[in-house]
Amino acid sequence: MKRLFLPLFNLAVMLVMSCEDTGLSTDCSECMSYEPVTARIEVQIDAGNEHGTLVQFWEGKLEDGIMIDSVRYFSTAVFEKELPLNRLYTITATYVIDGKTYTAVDSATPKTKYDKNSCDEPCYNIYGNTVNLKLKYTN
Amino acid sequence: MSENVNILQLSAVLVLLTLFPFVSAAQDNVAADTAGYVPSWYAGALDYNLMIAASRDLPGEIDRLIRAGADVNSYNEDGSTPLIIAVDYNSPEAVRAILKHSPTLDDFTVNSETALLIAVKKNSTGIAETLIRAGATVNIADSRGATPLHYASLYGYDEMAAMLLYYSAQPDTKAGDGTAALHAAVCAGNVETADILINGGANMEIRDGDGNTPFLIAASFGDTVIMDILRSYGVDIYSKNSLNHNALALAIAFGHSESVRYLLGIGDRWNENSPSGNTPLQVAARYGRRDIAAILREANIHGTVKPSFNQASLSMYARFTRHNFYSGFGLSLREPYLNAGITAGFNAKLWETRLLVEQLPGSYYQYIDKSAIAFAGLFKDFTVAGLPGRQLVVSTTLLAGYTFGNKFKGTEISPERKLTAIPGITVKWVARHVALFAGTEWHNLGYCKTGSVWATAGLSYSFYFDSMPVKQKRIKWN
Repeated sequence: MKRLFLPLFNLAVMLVMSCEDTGLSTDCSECMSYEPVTARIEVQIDAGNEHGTLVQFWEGKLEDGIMIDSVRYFSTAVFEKELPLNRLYTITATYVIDGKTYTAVDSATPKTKYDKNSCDEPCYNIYGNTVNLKLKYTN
Repeated sequence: MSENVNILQLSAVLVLLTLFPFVSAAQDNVAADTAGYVPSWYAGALDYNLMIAASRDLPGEIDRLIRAGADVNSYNEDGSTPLIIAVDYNSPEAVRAILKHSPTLDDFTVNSETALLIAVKKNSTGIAETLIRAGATVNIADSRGATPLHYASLYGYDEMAAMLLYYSAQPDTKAGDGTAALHAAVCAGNVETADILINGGANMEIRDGDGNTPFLIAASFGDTVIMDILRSYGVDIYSKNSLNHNALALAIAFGHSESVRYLLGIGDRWNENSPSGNTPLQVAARYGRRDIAAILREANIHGTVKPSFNQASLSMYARFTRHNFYSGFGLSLREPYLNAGITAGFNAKLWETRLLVEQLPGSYYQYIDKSAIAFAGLFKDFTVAGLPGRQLVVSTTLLAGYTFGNKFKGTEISPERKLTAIPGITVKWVARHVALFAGTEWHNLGYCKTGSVWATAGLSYSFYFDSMPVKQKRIKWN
C-alpha cells in the first residue's frame, strides 16, 4: 500500500494540475523583456450559424454586469482581445442552435510572471489568459 | 517314478547349494560398475568412490574401498557421509556394509539431517531400524527441534512411528515451535498415527506453543474422527488455548459446521462465556458464520450478537456519467455477521467539466463546474462465488449525497446544494486485501443531458482488525 501511495499521489497531482494554467512553467517563446500592463485574452469559440456568435466581455463576474465589449463573430475562431492584467474577466459566447439559445460562460484573470533563469534572458510571461467558450454538447 | 524325481530334485538342490557362494560373488562383481568412479590420481578419489559405491548399493565395493584406505566418515560439500548417502539412495546393503566399519551415526548434513532423519523422511523403516540397532540416537533433533518421531507422525508413517516408539522414542518431545508428535499427526489428519502415538504413551493433553491441545487442533481442522478418538480416551473437551478459545469456538471460527454439530452432541457446557466474554454465538457472528449460528440456535445455544466491525476498506475510484465526472475516495467499515456495513466518502473533480443548465425554456447556459459531493450510507454484500482467498461479491449501497463546492466559473451561481439519495449496485472481485470493483449508481444532479445513471470503477484495500484472533496450527519445521 505504501508503495502504491506515492505514484497514485503524483498521478492525482498531475491530473489536477494538467488542466489549469497555473503559470508554473515559463514559455520562452512568449518572453517579453519589459513588464506588460495588458494581456491578450485568447478566446476559443465554435462556429455560429448565419446569425454568428455573440461574444461579450464582462469585467468581474457575470452578475456584476460591467460589460466591456460585445462582438459578433461569424466563423470558428480563436481570437484575442487586449485587456489590462490582474483583473477578473468573464466572457460569454451565445449561440442559437435549432431555435434554442446556448450561452457558454468562462472567465480568466490574466497575470504576469517574472523569470530570470529559465530562458536566455530575464523574461516576463503572461498566463491565465485563455478561455474556452466552445459548446461541449447541446440539448 | 516318483522316487526318481525325488532323487533328481535333491541332486539339483545340492548342485545349487554348492555353486551358491560363487553365484553370489559373481553378482556383486557384475554390479560393480566403476565407470562413474573418480580417477585414482584425483585427490580424495577413494572417498568419493566410496560415496558412489554407497549410492549404488555395492557392499563388496564399499568393503574393498575402505580396506584400500577410504575414510568411512568422509563427507562431501553437503556434509553427507557415505552412510547418509547410502540411506538417501535407499541402499540397505550398502548401509549394512558401511555399519560394519563403525562409522559415526549422528552426523548432520548442512540441511540439519542425520542418516536416521533421512531414513524416516523416506519411510525406509528397515534402514531406520538398522541404524537404531547400530546405535543411532532415536530422539535426535534437527535444527528446528524436530525428531524422527515428529516426521513419522507428520507424514503418517504408521509402521515407522510404531518402530520408533518400540525403540524408546519420546512421544512428548517438543520441536522448537512447541509441537509434539501427536500435534503433528493431528494437524496432518493422520488418524492411525495418532492412535499409535496415544497407545505409545503420548500425552493427550500436551500443549503446543499456542496452548493448543491435540483436541483443539483437531477442532480447528474440523477433524471429527480424531476428536472422537481423543474423546474416547477421556481428554478434556472443554480445554482452552492461550487465546482462550475452546474447541467449539475454533470449529465455529474456521467454519466446520459438522464439527460444531459433533461438539454440541458430546458436550453441554459450551454456552459458558470465555474469559474474554465471547459466547459461541458471538464467535459465529464475529466470523460471519450465519449457517453455524443457525446450528447453535437449533441446539438451544442462545445469546446476544453484538455488532462489531472487523474490516476497514479504503477505496479510490472514478465516477462518471455522459458529460460529468468525479473522482473519489471512501472509507467502509464491514460487519461480518450481517455482511454489511457503513460507508462514507468524498467525490471531487480533478478537472473542470462543462455542464448545461436550463435557465428558461429554450435558453441554456453552459457553466464550468468544479463542485464536490460528500456521501455516507449503508452497504450490504452478497457473496456470489468464492475460492480460497478470493470472492466475487455483489454489493448494494444506499447513500445520502450532499452536493457542494465552488461556484460556476465567472459567476456567483453555485451548483444546487442538496441532499439526495444515491442507490447503487457494485460487483467486486476481492482477492484478500485488494478488491477491484465496477458498478452503477443513480444520482440526479439536475444538469441537462448528463443522465442520472453513473458508472463507477475503482479499487480498494482492506485492513482487517481482529478483536478475537484465532490461529490455525501450522507446522514450521516441515
